[in-house]
Amino acid sequence: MWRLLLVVLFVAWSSSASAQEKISGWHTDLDSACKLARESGKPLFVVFRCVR
Amino acid sequence: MAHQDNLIQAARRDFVCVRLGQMNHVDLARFEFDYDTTWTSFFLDADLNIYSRYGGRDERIPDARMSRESLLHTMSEVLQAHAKIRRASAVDLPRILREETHPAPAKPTSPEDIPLLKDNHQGCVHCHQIQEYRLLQSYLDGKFERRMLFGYPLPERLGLQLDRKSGQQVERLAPDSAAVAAGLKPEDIIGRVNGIPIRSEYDIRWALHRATDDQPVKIVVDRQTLGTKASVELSLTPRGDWRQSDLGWRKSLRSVPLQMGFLGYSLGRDAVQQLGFPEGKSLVKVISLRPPGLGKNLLLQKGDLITSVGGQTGFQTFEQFKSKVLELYRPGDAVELEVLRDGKLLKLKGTMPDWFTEETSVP
Repeated sequence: MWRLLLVVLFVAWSSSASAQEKISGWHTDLDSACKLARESGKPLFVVFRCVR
Repeated sequence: MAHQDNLIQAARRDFVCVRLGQMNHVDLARFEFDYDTTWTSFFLDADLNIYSRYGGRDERIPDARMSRESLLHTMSEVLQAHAKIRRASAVDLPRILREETHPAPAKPTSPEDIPLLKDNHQGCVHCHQIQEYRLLQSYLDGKFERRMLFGYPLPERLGLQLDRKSGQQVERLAPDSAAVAAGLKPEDIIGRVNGIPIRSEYDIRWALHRATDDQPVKIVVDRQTLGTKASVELSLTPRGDWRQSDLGWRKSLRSVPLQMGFLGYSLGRDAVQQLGFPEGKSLVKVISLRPPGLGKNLLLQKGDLITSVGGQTGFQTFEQFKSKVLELYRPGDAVELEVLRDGKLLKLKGTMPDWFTEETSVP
């Protein structure tokens, strides 16, 4: 039961993060962005935003 | 700007956009930039070949060297280069990649390859910490060089004032400058620097950052002459301490292996005027001495008010004062300060200490 609940929570969290990326248009994982760039034929725009 | 501006948001649709907030495990050899900055961007293909770098700053506010127009210009230039590469035949592709992208690094390296950082740092690695650990590690390894402090030289130091809307077109030239001597002209569009394709001002700064001091800088410009566009190759010989610029804004200044041997702060405007100095005059008050170091060599005293260093004024903060010391002097040089002590102006002279630090970690 607990295991099932954890799986449901993880799926909910990951789909929420993915949805957030789609809304903002910014990816946070370079590897998956490279894959998407290859599939779409688009170049990458990579921003380093460092907070101090 | 890249996140909120409507025009840039529209232009971003032609790109896969990635935002990275920490430097852990990032390939520093590929993503090489001025790590003291808080915002820098790269344009690349899916194989991580770099079309352009965009960003960079100076002593002014962080985005003073950037603009919506210049970012849109760079994005447009990148899309043209990307289309050219996608159209290239298999035979032409290696040559076009070489022409249109920045040189690829020989091998990857990450922040975790810096031993001091690996041993002493936990959690998120911030950009400035990379530069700081590099300074400390190079000192520890006996490889520290003063030049490491003055990265990403400003084009102005060569006499080049670039158009803020494009970042690669010459707006004006400083009289009698190295750029004038090289034959650059207003409205020239800088296309290559030492063979590196230029699509932003930051590309120029990266190319200058990589340039060696024993060779002239090779610049290719596109020039309109009598309605005809021509490509002109020029050779620019930099002069003097052309790499130097104000370090006062850099977080990494605190990790420079220099023993100041004292602490101070810059007096406010009212306090300066109460002392009878004109508005705009900068004074640094010595608040504590921590020998050994420069303070002891100069016989500074607590309460001294520093009015100039090497005859130069204009430091608004203690960090800018420290930067001025680093710009003017090398270890062993005679440092000259003017101080106000007990109402009298005194000239102090002392030796610039050798590079030294006991620090092995960065806060």
